[in-house]
Amino acid sequence: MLVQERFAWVWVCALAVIFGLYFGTVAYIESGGSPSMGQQIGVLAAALSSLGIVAAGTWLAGRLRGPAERDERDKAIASRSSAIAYNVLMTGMILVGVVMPFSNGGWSIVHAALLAIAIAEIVHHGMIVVSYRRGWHG
Amino acid sequence: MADRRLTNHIRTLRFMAGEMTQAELGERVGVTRQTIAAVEAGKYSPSLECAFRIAEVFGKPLEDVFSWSTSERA
Repeated sequence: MLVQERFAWVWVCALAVIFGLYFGTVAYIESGGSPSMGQQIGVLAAALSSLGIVAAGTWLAGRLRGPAERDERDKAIASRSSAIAYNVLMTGMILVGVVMPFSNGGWSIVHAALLAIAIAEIVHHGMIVVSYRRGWHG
Repeated sequence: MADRRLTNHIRTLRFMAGEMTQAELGERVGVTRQTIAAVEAGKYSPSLECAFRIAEVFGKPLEDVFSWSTSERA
């Protein structure tokens, strides 16, 4: 398995677990009434810190392995995955920034923005995995 | 419906070139072993430049290495 695919797997799993726990926790504390600002910020900080640890870990692993060999296939897969994820992210941001302010506010918008980012990132890394696994024809 | 796809004879040509390894071919073409494996397996369609380089390694014209096949699909 190529290092690019391995890191993509790590990110797909990490994003699914971290954001799954984040939104699960948010739903749980919101079910018990209106959560305080401190609670909301605490959960958000925990999720972002976890993502920071994963990012640092993958960065460190990449540094220890040395520069990854990237040829035209790797670049094509990375480029297509980013393009698809960009469309997902833009759709999410339009909903969050243009539609939601008329009906929601505060933390709902923050959560929706995070959800859009999480989905876009999962699509990005997921497409990398799928492209390496099932092949890619440009 | 006609299903057109790029096929290749790289495996045969490697065999005829003294069992040249995928890694060796990749090194001479300038791509990774995994990319050669993906091209061979029909999982990746190489760029035109890469295709010409592969053909050049074997000293064959492009059409002897790659072909654009048509198979009927129900």
